Amino acid sequence: MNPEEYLDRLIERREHGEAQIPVINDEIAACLAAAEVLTQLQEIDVPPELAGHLELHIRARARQNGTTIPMVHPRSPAGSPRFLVRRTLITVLGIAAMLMLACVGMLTVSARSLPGDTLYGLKQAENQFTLTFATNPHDRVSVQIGQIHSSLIDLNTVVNGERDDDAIRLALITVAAKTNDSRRAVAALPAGSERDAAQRELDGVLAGEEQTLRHLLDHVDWLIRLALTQQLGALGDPVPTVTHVMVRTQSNRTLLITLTGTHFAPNAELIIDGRPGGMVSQSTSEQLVAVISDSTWFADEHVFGVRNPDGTAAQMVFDGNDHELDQPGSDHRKYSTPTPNSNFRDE
Amino acid sequence: MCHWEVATDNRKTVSTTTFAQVIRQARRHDEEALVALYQRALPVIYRYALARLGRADLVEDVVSEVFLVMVESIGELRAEQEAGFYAWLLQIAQGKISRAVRHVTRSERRYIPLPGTYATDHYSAVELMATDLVSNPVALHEWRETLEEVGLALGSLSTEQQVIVIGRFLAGQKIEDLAQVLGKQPGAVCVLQFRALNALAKHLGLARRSQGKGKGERA
Repeated sequence: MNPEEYLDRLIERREHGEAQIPVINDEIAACLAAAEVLTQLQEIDVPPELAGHLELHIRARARQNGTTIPMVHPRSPAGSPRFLVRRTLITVLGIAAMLMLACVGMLTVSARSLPGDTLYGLKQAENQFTLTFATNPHDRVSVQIGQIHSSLIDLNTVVNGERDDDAIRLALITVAAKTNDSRRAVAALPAGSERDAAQRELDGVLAGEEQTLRHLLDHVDWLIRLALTQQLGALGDPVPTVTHVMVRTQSNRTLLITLTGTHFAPNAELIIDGRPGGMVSQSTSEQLVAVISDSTWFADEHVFGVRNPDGTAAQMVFDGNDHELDQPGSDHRKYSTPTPNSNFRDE
Repeated sequence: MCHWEVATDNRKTVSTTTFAQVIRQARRHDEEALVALYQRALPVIYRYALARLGRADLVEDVVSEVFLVMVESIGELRAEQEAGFYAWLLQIAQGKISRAVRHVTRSERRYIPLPGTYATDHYSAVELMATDLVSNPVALHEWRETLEEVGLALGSLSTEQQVIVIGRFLAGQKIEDLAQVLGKQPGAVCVLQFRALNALAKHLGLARRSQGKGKGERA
């Protein structure tokens, strides 16, 4: 046996923990020592962060490669007219494919966009596009109902993501629009089992919408609360409305505020300019009476509102310029029906 | 010997058929197969790169590049045995390491370190996770020196010799498998292994030490 094979046998015996055989010379002993140093490298551990990070990269790259379309090489000889035509065609097709991929990419990104995002308009256009190409009225209704669901998810996301009021308002407007469109579309279906089925589907989604809106009432500020209440009212929920505000000055330098409306709940609060205020002295489902100190009356225009314990709310603007406040016993009235615009008047 | 036991314990044997199946799946860009190959080869490539470069920051870049090349070029791998896979990967790693070394050399020509700072800066980033070394600064210092010497010694070997010694002692491959991959007779691979280890021993100053030790033993 030559020294090289003898060395390998020694290495193998050591690897398998077998009994040692004598080392025949110094050269082999030195080689064994070098092999041992190399084996010591196995004591080095790979940093777990590197291993984890790199694995993620590899997975991502593997997925990317798994979907890559293999490149097609032209078979015509280079320089021939057929080759040139083919190359032009391939270039055009390549550009078209890239454009298509870019469009698909944008649509994919826009599909995940939220109200307030740059691509949200594209998402809405895509929704409209889908709707236009629905083949029959029943499919159209299904698409519309699906879009209510999608818009509710967006609303929930923007509120939970603490986006600004404009984004939340846009999301809510979209929910309201989709709800109205779906209702109209279901009503336009011919009477029969298909319409009944669509109505049941819609009722299910609207029940979910009501639940979502009520849940969100606890997570929004005053103005958005008013808008959510209005949408709940549009769904048919009994929500408060304010139809009449009366402010009367009293002899003890206090003001008596009387709000008239509908669906005031027991323990409803008076809200002045978006904040709780005054002491409620009397409350029925249609009237709320409260007293405030006239020292707080420092501006001409105020917004009076009511907030029910379930979080629903309504308000109405009162303009003091139209009335005299200094006369004890004088009666200042303003009649109005709240509208979406009046609710957002001070935005 | 403790180190030899570690060597055998850490390498779980995978049957030739199973490994060939994994390679075939990986060629089809199967995510799990690629990850399995990566997990299998990562310790070997990382240790080899660390031995050659000695700097954790460079090693991470090189190792990342090696495995990204693996994912991209797995279709080009003809071998289906583990030894062939390691040989292929080690050749990729050698290329990346050479590039990193050239890059560092060029940068160092432009940057003249203050006296006494070079050695510390160069190896401060080496992360040795062996707990017995971390807790013993003297042993850790010696280990770093050895690692530096091993890196230089490995760099002095031919590509073929490096594939043999790394495949043999870090990846746990047999002479017969390496011979098949390299298209040589096992005897020829034994000769290459002998020469490589001999060269390493000389670089590491082991020849003299073991000679002394050997003489002592005989006496």
